[in-house]
Amino acid sequence: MTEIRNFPGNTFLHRLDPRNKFFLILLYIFVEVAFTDIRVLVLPFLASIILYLSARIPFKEVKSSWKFLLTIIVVISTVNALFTLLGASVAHPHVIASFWFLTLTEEGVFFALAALMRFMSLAIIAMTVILTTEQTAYAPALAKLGLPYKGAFVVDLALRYLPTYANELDTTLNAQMARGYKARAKGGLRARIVNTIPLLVPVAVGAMLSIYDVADAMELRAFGAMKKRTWYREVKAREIDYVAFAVIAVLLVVTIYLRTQITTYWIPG
Amino acid sequence: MGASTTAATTPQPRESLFSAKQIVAMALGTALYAGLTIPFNVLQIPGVGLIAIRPTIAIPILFGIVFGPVTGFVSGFLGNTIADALSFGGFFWNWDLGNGIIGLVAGIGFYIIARRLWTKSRGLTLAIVVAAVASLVGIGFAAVTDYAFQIGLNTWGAALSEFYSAGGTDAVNGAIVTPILLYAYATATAGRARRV
Repeated sequence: MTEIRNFPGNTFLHRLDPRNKFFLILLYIFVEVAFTDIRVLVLPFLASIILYLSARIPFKEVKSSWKFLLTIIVVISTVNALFTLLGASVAHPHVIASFWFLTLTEEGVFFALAALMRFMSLAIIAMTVILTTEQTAYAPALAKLGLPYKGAFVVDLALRYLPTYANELDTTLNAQMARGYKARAKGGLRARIVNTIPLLVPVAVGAMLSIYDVADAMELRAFGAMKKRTWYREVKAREIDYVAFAVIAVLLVVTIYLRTQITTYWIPG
Repeated sequence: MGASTTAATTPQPRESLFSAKQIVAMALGTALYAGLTIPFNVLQIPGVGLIAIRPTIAIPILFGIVFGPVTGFVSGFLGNTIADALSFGGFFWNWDLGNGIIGLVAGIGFYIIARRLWTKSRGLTLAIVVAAVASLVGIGFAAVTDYAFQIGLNTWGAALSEFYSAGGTDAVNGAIVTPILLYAYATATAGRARRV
């Protein structure tokens, strides 16, 4: 789970230029921030499901992610419904049912549904993009988008070392357990935090010391000497990518227009 | 004698914000934060969405103190983005920015905690304060934006609940773990002949 794994395939999303995938995620973020009207939110929600299904990702590979998402759905819905039911933002709520100090209102139900759709749309589309994009494509795509190569290199190097440090944590845990360390500490918050120190210190300090070695190796290879550099992997747009970009651009314009017309929740009746 | 006197008085060139060392620090800080956070993301605070108990919040704080605010920001922002994407399959832009702000504010420590104080009680006390303040500012940003943009919340009470839970535990995590990591790093580099 610590590698950004993608699942090989030949679907439309697998072949789509990674830059268009970044723009798609940005569009979804904009929609999530801009709208609370469920009539608008249902469209990107359905689109995210269609895109996910079109990517043909084997379910067993993403079962754990779906478990997390479903858990979050329950938590977010419950928390939202509970706080909304306290009626802080609605002057005359339409009550559906009440029990003790809890009151179920129409406004609460629609707010919870809207919040759920916003969260789920972005989660599904982000998961789909990650699973259909090769790890080596992120940095060259960011560079082609105009990010200076040092910035793209930060992303590339971070993704390269991510599994290394996760594995080191595992190795350190095994080594410490061989010396009598118990991973599950008894006690309150402070005891649990302090119990992580034997794991964090060796991995963190080891990583920080290696920064200078890596930096020296890069400087010896003239890193930073030239303003521009090439990448081993090229990202090239095809005709279909230009069409996809045009579609995303049109959707963005439509979204901005709709935002000027729809500014609040919608409740039927 | 003359050479060491000259070295002591010759003004040193200011290091670039994007030197090779800083670039690598940003990248490895990101990888460290994300790689260590993912296993801890399973420890959820019940009832407050996705907020997890994260001792690894000390990582962007530490990188901010040791390498500066820009490195702290990148480690926090990118690290949290990757960790959330891999843990939950989601992208929470305001919480990613909030974690970046934690590293950015912790960068104050880069200027006020001199290297020679990293093993002294005064420096470690400052590190505790910087860690707590940075956590509260960063999580405060995330909670306020959750409320302002109504991302999962629509009442000020819910936002405050989120701030107290996440900000409080991050401040405690940061205050406990950061000085320990800082002391350990300072001790590890004390005897090195190579540059640190």
